This record gives sequence, structure tokens and C-alpha cells, in this order.
Amino acid sequence: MNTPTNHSDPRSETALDVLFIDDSPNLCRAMELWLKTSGYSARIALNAAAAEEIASRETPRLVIADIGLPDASGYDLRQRLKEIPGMADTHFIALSGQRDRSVPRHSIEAGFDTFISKPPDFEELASILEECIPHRPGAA
Amino acid sequence: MSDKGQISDRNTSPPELEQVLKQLTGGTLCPCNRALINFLENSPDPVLLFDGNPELIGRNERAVELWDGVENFIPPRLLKEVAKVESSGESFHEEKKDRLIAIEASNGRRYFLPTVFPLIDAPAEPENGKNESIIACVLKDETIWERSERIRRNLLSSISHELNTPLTSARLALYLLAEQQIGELNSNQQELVERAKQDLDREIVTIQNVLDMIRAEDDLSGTGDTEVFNLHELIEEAINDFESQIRGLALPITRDYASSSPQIEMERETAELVMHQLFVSILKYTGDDAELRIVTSSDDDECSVELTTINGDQEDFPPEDLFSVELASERARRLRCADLGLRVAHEMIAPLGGALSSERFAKSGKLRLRFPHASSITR
Repeated sequence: MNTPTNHSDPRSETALDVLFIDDSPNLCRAMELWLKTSGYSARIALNAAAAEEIASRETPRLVIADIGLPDASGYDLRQRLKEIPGMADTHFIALSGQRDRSVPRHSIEAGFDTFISKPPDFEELASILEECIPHRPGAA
Repeated sequence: MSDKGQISDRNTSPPELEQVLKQLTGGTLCPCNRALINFLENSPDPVLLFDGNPELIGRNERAVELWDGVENFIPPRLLKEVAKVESSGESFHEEKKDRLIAIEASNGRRYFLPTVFPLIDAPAEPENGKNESIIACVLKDETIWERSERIRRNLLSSISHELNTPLTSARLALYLLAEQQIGELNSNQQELVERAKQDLDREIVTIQNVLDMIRAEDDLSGTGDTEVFNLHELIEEAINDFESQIRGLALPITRDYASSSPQIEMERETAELVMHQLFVSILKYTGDDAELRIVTSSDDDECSVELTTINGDQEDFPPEDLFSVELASERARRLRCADLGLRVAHEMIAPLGGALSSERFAKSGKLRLRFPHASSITR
């Protein structure tokens, strides 16, 4: 996980690495711990409204969003976040516990770059993070 | 001949209907129409009667109960079926419960399976240019089934979500502990965490298998309705659906379409889903300065489309062994969505006699989709 800094990223070195959105406080807390101990700056949101507020302030490089949020679908949230200035290059990962085959398809059609089922393989998730956000040791 | 005003739009009692039928048929009723009148009298299901226009001209008592005081309650889909029966003279019976007709009743929305049949055929040359046919529509009430099915589906979706989210946080917590990312563990603690992680992983596999079985059962209950449609239209629809992504990549598309008009016969939704997966996958692997070439071919035995992306970097094109990967395997879980979607598309089309394949070349990648049961119709 010690890839050099991505110099092609035009955003500030202080920009937020990951915004994680899920309505489960337990999952949010575990994910926050994992992301921060892995060296990423991370914020969590329990609903779409909070996610929009954080994203408009901190323009995350990567967004991981649950599809079933209490105040909006992950598909709608994806559209709303993409319209925030500075987020055109943000990578979006959809996360869902629903086993319906249409969910991955709808996620990709809604503009998510990657779909991951719950529970995810965390090593796979780590490698996606590494691809999207080349590691910055001590960024936590 | 008849004055249809004699049939009340509010209610049509059997004696009243019998009288009108006698007038329409010249005073005699065939046994078939007598049986129908008895059926109307005794039917627990709502029955609607239409003229040839088609307009509602009567209903039995159950239908009056349901739509008392409700204006314009007949949905366009039902009217369309009535019109088809009127013009063809052939009965229509909907058997598939996923094609229920929803009708707003005075006590809320209800769901029906319709049976539509001609009660009296229209004369070949109607007097005064009036169409004198009468079409009956019996509506089997499936509202209770629909409600229980909706509850079942919502429950399944909720169970899937409610099970997988806590499993994810539990798994992540154990992962953090096992990897000692939040502090060192002594050997006893390490052993306990490893054992708990193994048990949880076993539990996850069992739960996913149960959920997959339920999902497979739902998938198998598809409509099964096949239709004939044009391959080139299917491709153009997919291009339109992905217009914004194609425009975003400034991806030039060359079409080399077969001169014949390739026709496909299968469930349209399946064909659209498979075609979408092709585009999702192709767009994922398309780099800068690439181009997309679409080639179709058709003859009596085969109808196919090839999507080729041409650029200098195809290292990440779908792996060649993608179509042999077990869907339930660890390898499948590691595949990204676009690849797995392609694999799922292959699974959907292969049992129908079609096939999906992927090829990698030095500077290009190709996806080839062969449709089942193809035929060719020359323009």
C-alpha cells in the first residue's frame, strides 16, 4: 500500500480522501477506523443530506455509498454529488446488501464506477482504494 | 336493431341482458349465450360488458359494488385487450400473475387477471354502420395474492439488506482486530479473533447461498414472453442509453451492419440486459483515443454482434477465462462489476442457445454475442 503520490491529481493535498455513507452507525464507525488506520483521511455520513453537506465542503476523491439510504437512494445521491464543483473526477463505489441482480446494473447505469456487494472483501476494497487514491502515509 | 340504452351502465341484471341478447340475435338465444347469462348471474368475479367501440355498456352486481361512483376506472391496457378481442373475434385469457391489471376501486386499488371474450359477434355488415358486438370481460380478483407477493418481496429485500449490513460491520471489526491495525493482540486474543472470523465467514457463505437460492427462484419466474425484434434497433437503443458516457469519452463509433435485417426472437428484457452489459464492459475498458467498431452478421443459423474497441492498452480487458469462472467462487467475488455482469449475461443467454465470448488482441479487445434462434429477413 505504499504507492507514490499521484501527482496528476489537480486537487489539494489536503482534500478529503474518502467519504463513506451508510445508515448503519456501527458500519460507519468500523469503516472510519479502518480507513483512518490505513492512512486515508475519511469522513462518514449516515444519510444523503449529511453526505451532500460534507462533499460540498471537502470534495472527496472517492465516495463509497450504500444504495439504500433513509432519505434518498444511492442512485439519486450519486447524481447530486456529481454536480458539486470539483467532484467531476471523483470515483464512486456503490455498496449494497441487496442480492437482486438488477442492483449492480442500476448502479453502473446511474454512473457508479464500481459496485461492491456487502459484505465486501476488504483486501479487494483496499486495492481499489489504492488505485483511486495513491497512498499518502500519515494522512490520517 | 337494438337500442343499447336498454342495458344500464350501472347494472346489468341477467333478465335485462337476456332481453337485449334476444333482440340482438333475432329472438333466439344459443345455449352458449344462455350459459353465459347464468354465469353472469352467479359469478363472484366482476364482469364488465363492452360494445364494439369499445365502451362500457354494463356490469354485474360485483362490478357495481367495486366501482360504485368511480368514474373512468377502466385502464387503457384493458380497453386495448377488449378492442383486440373485438377485432379478432378470439378470446383472451391472461394467466401470468406478473401481468395483473391494476384498477382503482371505490375501496382502493385492486389487481385482476382478465378473461375477455366475444359474447355476440359483430355482423359482417352492421346496420346503420353501427358495430353491434358485445364483449364480456371477467376479472379474477388477485388482490390478496398481489399484496402477499409484495410483502414477500419487500421482506426479502429488507432481510438481504438487514443481514448484510451488520455482517459487514462485524467482519470489518474482526478484520481490523485480526490485522492488528488498532492495537496488538496477545496469542490467546489472536486465536479467538481468528476463530470468530472463520465462523463468521462460514455464516456469511451460508446466508449468501440462501439469499442466492431465493433470488434464483425469483429469476426463474420471469414472464417467458418472447417477441421478435430487430438486432440493429436493439444496438441503437443501447447506444442511446449510454449516450452520455459515449459522449464523455468522445468515443467514435463505426457501424458495419449486416445488409439483411437480423431478427431476434427472445424475451426483450433479457436481450436489453445482455446488450447493456456489453456496453458497460466495453466502456469500462475504453481508453483515450479509442474507437468502437460494431459489426453485425446474420444468416439462417446465426445472428450476432461484435463490439471491438481499438486502442493500445487492453491489459485489463475481461479475462479470457471469465466464462468458465464459477459464479459462486472467490474468483467471481473478486471480479469487478462490469466483468461479473458480463459473466451473468453469458449465464442468461447460454441456456437459450446463445453465447457470449471475449477475445484479447495486441491493440484491441472484442466482445462477441451470438443470439439464440436467429433468422434473417432481407429488406
